[in-house]
Amino acid sequence: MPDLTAYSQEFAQLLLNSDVQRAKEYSLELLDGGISPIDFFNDIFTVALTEIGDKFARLDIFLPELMDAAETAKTVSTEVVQPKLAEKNAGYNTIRGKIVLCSVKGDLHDIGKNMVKLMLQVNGFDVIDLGVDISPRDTIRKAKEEEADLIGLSSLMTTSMPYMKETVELRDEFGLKGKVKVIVGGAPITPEYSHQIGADAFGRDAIEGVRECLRLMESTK
Amino acid sequence: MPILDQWNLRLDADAILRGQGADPVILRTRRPNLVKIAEQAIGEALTRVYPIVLYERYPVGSILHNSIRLLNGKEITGKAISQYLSSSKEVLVMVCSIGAELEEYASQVMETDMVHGLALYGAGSAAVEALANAACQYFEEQAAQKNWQTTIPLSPGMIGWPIEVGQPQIFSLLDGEQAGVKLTESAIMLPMKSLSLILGLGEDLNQQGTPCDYCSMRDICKYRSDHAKQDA
Ligand code: B12
Repeated sequence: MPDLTAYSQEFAQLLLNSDVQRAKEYSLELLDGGISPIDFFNDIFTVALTEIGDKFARLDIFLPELMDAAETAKTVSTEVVQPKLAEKNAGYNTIRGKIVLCSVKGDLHDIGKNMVKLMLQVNGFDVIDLGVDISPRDTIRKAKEEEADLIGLSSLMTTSMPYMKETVELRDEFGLKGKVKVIVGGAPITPEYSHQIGADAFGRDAIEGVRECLRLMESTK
Repeated sequence: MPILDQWNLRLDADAILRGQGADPVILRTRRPNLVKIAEQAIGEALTRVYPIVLYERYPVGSILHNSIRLLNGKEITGKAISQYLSSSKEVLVMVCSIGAELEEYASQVMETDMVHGLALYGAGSAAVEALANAACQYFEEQAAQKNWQTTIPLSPGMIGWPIEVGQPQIFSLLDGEQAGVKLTESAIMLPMKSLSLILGLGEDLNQQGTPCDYCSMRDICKYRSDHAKQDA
């Protein structure tokens, strides 16, 4: 099999340039040129996204650039990669996990949560976005109903932070501890706070959030 | 209750990009397309914002340990309140909002184009912040006409004035419905893009500092206002 690293780097550059048209053409060229959709997805698409995430973590690019690249990737995924996968590898599942996401009760701030949503989507998560000001009960009910693997909670205010704790407690009361993992984030949230309330993970930003969600999925396997 | 709804808001793309954690100067050369999206969002936002400021002035009766009592008997409690309003003769309570239309439009756009949607969200935040700034400036100018001054704006959520304490107090002094703003039982204002503030009015007020000085996120915030950064 050819070394796909060079392709993933080229593809990452097209995503960063937010050149949707060219990124779609490039993907089609590779797919029509003999690279299987599964290899494209795992070794080019996903690797390119990881590289872009690393750039963000190293502060080489800003959040809006990351979002822009992610949006381009999302288009390539839905318009090119997914149809090819369906055509050639029907049944192959690119969904890495299902997550119920919200800004917790008492909080209306949702810009960060929406950014986390986009990054999770392009990284293969099925995201059920409940919106803002969501009570612990509604979150847990939805997670149960949807058989979600993960719950993502966002809080930007000291008044809403206690509802994160309540959501974790309610999850445990419902006997879902270990089954549905909780990840928390938002500007005032720290790893210590996350640990203290019994959450399973914390993400400082959207990229760390994706990494942690992937780690949680690995640990549930 | 008086309402001011004639505002000429000016937004700039840099404020939106900064609100998203980016350095506008670098982005202008590296990703002009993102600057363009922000500029386009401003154009769309300005046709969908309905700036409104509802306010009322209340004479101060007495200053207590952790609160002030107004002449009408109502109290505003919080360490920050007694600290910053103690020399005020009056307090001016206000709610600023840009309405719900932009928020609704942004959510729709978000479904299909997140980058564009986020720029619209950013424009909404910038618009309500610009409205609050403009209102504070307006009241400062009004006060100056009778040789009075205004304190820094205080907002529930700042250090020493918790949201769950401050928001119900503000809404007991203002009939938010008159501006189309309501407070939910979890102390959130609807429409979302709203801000609540209080200013002290009086003579010889101690006007040092900026609101950022009293913020719990001071040391880690990426969105501090420029004048606060210069002072730091
Ligand atoms: C923008 C903003 C607003 C906008 C809201 C826009 C919106 N739709 O979200 C407006 C102007 C409307 C607003 C209003 C208010 N706000 Co405000 N707001 C902010 C501000 C300046 C930025 C938040 C933001 O969007 N950041 C940008 C995003 C990209 O960053 P982020 O949210 O942190 O998200 C990133 C990470 O944290 C992480 N993350 C976030 N969530 C999650 C979740 C998971 C699972 C993971 C893994 C990661 C993760 O990833 C994200 C992307 O990398 C903050 C200050 C600050 N420094 O945070 C105050 C702030 C949050 N607001 C505050 C307050 C008090 C209010 C008001 C109550 C003020 C008032 N009295 O009127 C009102 C309430 C309005 C209402 N309707 O009730 C306070 C809260 C203080 C406190 N005690 O808790 C802050 C801290 C400001 C301050 N210093 O006082 N606000």
